[in-house]
Amino acid sequence: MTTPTTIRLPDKLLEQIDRRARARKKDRASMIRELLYEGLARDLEDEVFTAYREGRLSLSQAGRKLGLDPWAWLDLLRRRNETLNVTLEDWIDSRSAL
Amino acid sequence: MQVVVADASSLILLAKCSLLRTYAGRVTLLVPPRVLEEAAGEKLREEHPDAELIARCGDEGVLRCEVVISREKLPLSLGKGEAEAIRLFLEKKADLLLSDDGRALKTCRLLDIPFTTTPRVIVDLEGCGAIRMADARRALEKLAVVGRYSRDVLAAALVAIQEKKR
Repeated sequence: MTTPTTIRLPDKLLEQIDRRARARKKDRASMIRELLYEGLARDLEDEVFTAYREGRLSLSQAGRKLGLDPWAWLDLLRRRNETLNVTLEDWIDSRSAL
Repeated sequence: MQVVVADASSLILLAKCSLLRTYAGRVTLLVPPRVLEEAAGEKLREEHPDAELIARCGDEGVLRCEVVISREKLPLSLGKGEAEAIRLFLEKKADLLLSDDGRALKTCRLLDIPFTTTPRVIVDLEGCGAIRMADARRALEKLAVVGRYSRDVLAAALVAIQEKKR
């Protein structure tokens, strides 16, 4: 289901959207929808990464929020050039089992 | 032999470093069913050869899968596998919790649970002669690339290996 909505956009932005739509052989509405989906996905990803980095989400919680298993989460960390949220302090406090 | 409970993050990293069997041969490595599912569920086994290795370790009893009965509330919210691993630790009165997740380790601190991490495991394995120094270096390098460990933690682990040699 879709709902019509009205939004005022700057002329320059609309020109850019139209140019991109023409390049991809899409109409303006489809192009705007596609950009909104992409932007929302990126925004959610950024939000999850911030929470993970700050220790507000664990590895599996963060992955789950993006629909990823732990393997895919590790791949995403690599693609984004991010690191695990284990700190030097964690290393110092870690103990030996052998 | 020390009893160590692992979560999915560490099983995956140890498997990626080809050290899961080596470590599991030197400690009693326990995992709850949820952790095994997160690290080596059926679909994952088709996609990742290392997930297949983890599953085989489970089938062969190299990893001991233990059902968790406790539903104890933990001080921080965690994923189901991470929470089950901590509950299993408490239930079995294990010696160490093995995790590579900052929030799980924070929970360990709040509960006064002794913990370890994959870089520490690599240092330990080298220290007891289970692997050579070159293998330990290679494993730490792998932790940086595929394991996404920060360089400062890995540098500290390398220093620890070299200090033990002196």
